[in-house]
Amino acid sequence: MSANWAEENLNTIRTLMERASVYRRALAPISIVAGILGILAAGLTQMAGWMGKDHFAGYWMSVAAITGGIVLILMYRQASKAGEKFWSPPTRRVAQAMLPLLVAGLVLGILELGDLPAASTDSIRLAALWMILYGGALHSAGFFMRRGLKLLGWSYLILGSLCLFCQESGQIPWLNESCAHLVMGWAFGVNNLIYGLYLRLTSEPRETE
Amino acid sequence: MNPDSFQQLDKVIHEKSRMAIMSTLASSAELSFTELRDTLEMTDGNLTTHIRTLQKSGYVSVAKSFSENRPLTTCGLTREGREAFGGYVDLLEQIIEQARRSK
Repeated sequence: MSANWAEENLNTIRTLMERASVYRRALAPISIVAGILGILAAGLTQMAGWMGKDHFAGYWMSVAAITGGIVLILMYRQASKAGEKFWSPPTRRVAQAMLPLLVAGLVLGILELGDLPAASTDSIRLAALWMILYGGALHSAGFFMRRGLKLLGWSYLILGSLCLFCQESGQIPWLNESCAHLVMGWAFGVNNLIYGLYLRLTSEPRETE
Repeated sequence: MNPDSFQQLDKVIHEKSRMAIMSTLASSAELSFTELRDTLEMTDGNLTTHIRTLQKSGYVSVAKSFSENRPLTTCGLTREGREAFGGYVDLLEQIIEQARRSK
């Protein structure tokens, strides 16, 4: 027996402990794809000439559903490539952490779609609430993931809160319903893209691409 | 290098599969039998055998319950198990340290 053997055992223990608790799939491609889709979606609304509440909730919920589907396919491919199960315990933990706040966002969108009394009635307010809920979901997921996801969550929480404050107080006159689609594109497109590019440029070799 | 260090290694933990089980459980409060099996890619029989050995040593606790009318078996490290695992890891580190010093 040698010290090499002891070192190998320690490395195995470290790897197993990390595998059991941390979601290790590469977030860079996921974040970049989500960012590009968000920017494209905002661009489409400008081409279509949609302003303010025009198709706002339904359109962005559809964009989120399509983006979510593509993200799941990417995650599935990453897991297959690594020869691991897609619905692994870490994946399940991340999903469980994000789900409550994402469901709350979905409910807000449905209320807006149905034009129910409890709806936000203002697209900027809805965008801000979605940012806050998405930020909360990312922050929760960050407990089971590496690479600054909690910070990204905080950035959405702060951005959403600022948006809400400015909209309610009228501090920024140009922040009104007419630019709601652009705010969504900036928040969910540009932010995700920047985060994805940051991850790509500082990628860890241990992550599964 | 002190040969006593090797002798002191906990024989129950010092087996590849059981070390993997202990490592995985050490990073979670508890895991279901299925999660543990999938994470470690072990067969039901193999995992059951090793869990039983760890349970007999008092390192692992097994709880049986029902979730959505289905039986659910969850496993977790006991306090004794956490201490034994911590001691095992400490000893491995000591062995490495001794080897470095003797070079």
